[in-house]
Amino acid sequence: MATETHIGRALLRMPTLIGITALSVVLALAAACGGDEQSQGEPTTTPTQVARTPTPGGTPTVAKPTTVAQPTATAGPTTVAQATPTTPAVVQVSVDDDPSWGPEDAAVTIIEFSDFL
Amino acid sequence: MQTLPQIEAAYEGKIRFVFRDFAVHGQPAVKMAEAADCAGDQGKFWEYHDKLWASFQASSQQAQTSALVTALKGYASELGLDTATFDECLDSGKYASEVQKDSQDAQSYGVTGTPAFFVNGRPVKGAIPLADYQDTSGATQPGFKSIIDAALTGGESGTPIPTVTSGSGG
Repeated sequence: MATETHIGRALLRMPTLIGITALSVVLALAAACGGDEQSQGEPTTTPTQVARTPTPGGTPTVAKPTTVAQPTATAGPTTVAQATPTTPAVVQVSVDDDPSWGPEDAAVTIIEFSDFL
Repeated sequence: MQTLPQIEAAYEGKIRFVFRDFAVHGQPAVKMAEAADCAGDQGKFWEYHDKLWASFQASSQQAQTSALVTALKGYASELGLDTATFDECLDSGKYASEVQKDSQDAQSYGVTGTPAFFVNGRPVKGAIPLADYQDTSGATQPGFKSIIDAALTGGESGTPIPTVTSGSGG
């Protein structure tokens, strides 16, 4: 009858084991969800990058800076990476074949856009 | 631009200056830009450019009348250009597409008004003076001299334009 007693105890413990297993699964899921919420709550930004490539002709050929802000899944303020306020963005401007004076290999090129009125 | 002669005198041989059209003041502005390009065909763009600026008041008064074209042809004559060639160039609209392309380029670079400048690719809006100046808020802003000197000192394209902070209150 000892074997019957052992089996009987095991059967009695089964609901408890199932309960513990289910609780563990729930806790694991909760932990996973909590981690996601934390990462989504912090906006991810990509630093502004400016590539500068001087050319022999003195013409500035500088890649336009890009600023990218990753969207956030949760409510709250979204921050956007910004260029230094005192430094205007560099634009790659073609001199085309328009009138100019000064050496083509000058260190500084000024391009004016204007009309006569 | 009145500052241009000062820049040319102060930085001769050190900088390159390029003029591109951005005709935002209607058809008269377009025709004036075309006329300057026609003068360029005869190697006198800058003389004609200066002539247009010197005749700014007269041109403005004529801007709404058909007399503008006559005035533009008169400037060519005063500068000793071959007037027959100049007139043919202007009347045919030889540079109409060029002026339009320049204006489209300006817009693509974010230019919204005239004059606008790019110093080694860095935008400078408005007709700022050579020397540092105070804006409407009283803050001191860098003039062309500070901007160009900084670019020359940097020795490479894309040198940051200096920011001059206000000296007031201190």
